[in-house]
Amino acid sequence: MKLRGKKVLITGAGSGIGEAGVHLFAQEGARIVATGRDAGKIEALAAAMKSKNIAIDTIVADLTDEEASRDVVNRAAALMGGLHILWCNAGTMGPGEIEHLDHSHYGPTMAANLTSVMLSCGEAIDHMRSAGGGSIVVTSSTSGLVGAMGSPIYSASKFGVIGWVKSLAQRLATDGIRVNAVCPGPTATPQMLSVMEKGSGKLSGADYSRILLSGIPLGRLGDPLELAQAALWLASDDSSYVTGVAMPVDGGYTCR
Amino acid sequence: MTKQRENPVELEGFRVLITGAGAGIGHAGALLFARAGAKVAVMDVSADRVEETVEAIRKEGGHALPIVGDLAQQGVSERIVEEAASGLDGLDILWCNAGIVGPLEIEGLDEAEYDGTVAINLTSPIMSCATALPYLRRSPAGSIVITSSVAGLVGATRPVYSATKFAVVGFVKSLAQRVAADAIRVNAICPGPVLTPLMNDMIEKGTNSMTAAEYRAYLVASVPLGRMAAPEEIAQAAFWLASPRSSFVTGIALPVDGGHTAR
Repeated sequence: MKLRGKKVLITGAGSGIGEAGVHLFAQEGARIVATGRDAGKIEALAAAMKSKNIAIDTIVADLTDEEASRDVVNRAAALMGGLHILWCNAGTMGPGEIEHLDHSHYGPTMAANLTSVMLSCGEAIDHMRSAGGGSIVVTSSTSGLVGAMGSPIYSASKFGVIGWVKSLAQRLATDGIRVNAVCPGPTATPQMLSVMEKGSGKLSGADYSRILLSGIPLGRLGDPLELAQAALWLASDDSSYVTGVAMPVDGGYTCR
Repeated sequence: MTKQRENPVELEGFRVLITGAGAGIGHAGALLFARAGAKVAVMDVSADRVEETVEAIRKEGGHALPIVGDLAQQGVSERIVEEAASGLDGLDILWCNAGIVGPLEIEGLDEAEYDGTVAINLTSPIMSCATALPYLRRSPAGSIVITSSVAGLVGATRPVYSATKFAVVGFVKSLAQRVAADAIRVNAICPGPVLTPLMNDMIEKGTNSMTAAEYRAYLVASVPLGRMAAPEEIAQAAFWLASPRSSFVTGIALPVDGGHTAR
């Protein structure tokens, strides 16, 4: 029980990595507030947990709204009577556009992947200080370490959030709050499977998929549970000397 | 009669070889792996330290196999893997942890000291990995961990040490690609300053511009967390990368450094 007694907020919990995370973290003894923007998925998650006799709290919120990104943290802390762990996992894919850009191209991606993370972290700090310390995990991407195949705007947001993590880690170190990023490589989430079907930028789905898989030494997509395991480790006390890292969980995608 | 363990089935039955397991990070790791149910081949150059670690494991009801050898000597890095695989009836995890700090200066470099540093820090892990691969291929969860250092990511005070530790990261990232198709994972841990005999030795030697006390203070100040690591904290990272919980992680050099390389 790696998270016994820990109070955890997980964003982007409606599907994929976040959803796998809720199941895994609960198994490891955490008290959880799960948030996502799709009410149907969040309700289904709560029902699934209930059928396992695990009570979680849920908040339906669109974190591209700045107020919501702050609010969700404070509401979670109020619901649980404190906050030890914040996992900013919510995010969105980016558009392929690179020319004649306007806010409609970069705005939603930056809002979801970068601004929201900063705002949520900004609210978590006080709660974690009160708890005597804590752990913040942010889901970035291998596209935050190397250039994304389809979307430079996506890479900008994911590189950005790693900069935030490495700098914030230094600022919060003496508060006993660790800050780390997990960088998923291609993972079998609804988002990824959709891109592999539809393509990205100028690449067709078939071409995108072929190029993608050929670039992964382990020869397969990651399972959302494998990503959740990495977030679990960074959230837990087992990684007590780890802060300011951007950990690739990518089947070797970035080691070449 | 087994003592109740925290993770009774986490690595139950896994066959693990750890080099440099007589003290420091390796010793902490040997206990951690054994408590998780693994059968641990405890390897070190010091017979006394090997015996102490093996006894500590057996006292807790764990399974340990002693192996003594000097990794600087030709053939030893291969021999210890064969001994471990033979004694444990196979191998699932290889953790090349042994290492030495090497010379401080490069002017007036003693060739034997240089050769010895390269032999233990770089050649030995390579040769042990080469010998282990056939066994790891037969494992359902083959995993290699090599102890590099923050000195393998950024320049340290000792240039030869940094050279060997950077090299080990390059080796890990390349080998990871080569053996991925065999479902064998290869990763490095990059510890920052850790409270071990090796570290103590390095600090006591000081540098040309700092006394031991100044060097110790300098090292602590270089870490955002404001302290050196306990060996167990580094061992936890090696444990996680060795275990199936990190099944999609390969080819990484993970800093376990209190934020040192984040600045």
